[in-house]
Amino acid sequence: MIPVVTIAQIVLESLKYGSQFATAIVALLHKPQPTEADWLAALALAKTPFTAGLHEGAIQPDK
Amino acid sequence: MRICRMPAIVAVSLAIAFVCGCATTASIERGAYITVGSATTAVELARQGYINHANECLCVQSNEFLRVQNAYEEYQRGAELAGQLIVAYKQSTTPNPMTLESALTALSDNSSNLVTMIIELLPGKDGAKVQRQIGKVKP
Repeated sequence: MIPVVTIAQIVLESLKYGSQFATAIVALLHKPQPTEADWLAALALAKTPFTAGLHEGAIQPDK
Repeated sequence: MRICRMPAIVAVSLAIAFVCGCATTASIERGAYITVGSATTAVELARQGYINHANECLCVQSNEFLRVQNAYEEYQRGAELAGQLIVAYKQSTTPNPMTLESALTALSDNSSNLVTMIIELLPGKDGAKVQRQIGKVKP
């Protein structure tokens, strides 16, 4: 278990480098480990068919 | 100024890793998770940019389209392999971080090549737009 004082010190220290960095640090400290479902969700975008959104007739025959 | 800050940022990150104790494997896993999410998001943004371009210009010929589609399908096979490795990692009682490294290798090479290929094929402004969008992907 991480001592609360230490967490506070880290967050305060990270704020010196910008709120975005501090936010990332807080997320890192608090977000639980990614589950199998989290991983698969991150990979789900790769299942999008290449032609999704392509209009019919948009591709021209080779010249 | 930014250069002076970097060692301190690294120091803070290292401090977190030390404080977390459990963190070595956990931080590797977290980093890999962020990398996977960023890679799939970047490819999807590039794919959408290419499809939008094809719809708008009506100038993409089938040989070029098939070349990009083949590269995309190769990336999909890499992502499928990465998914299998990650499931094996998560289900293992003694997870090996090297499995995650293999998964990242399977995914990242193909994804970066594909994004580069698409950006090069897009006209300047469309390529720049995709690059800006990818730049906004927050790990």
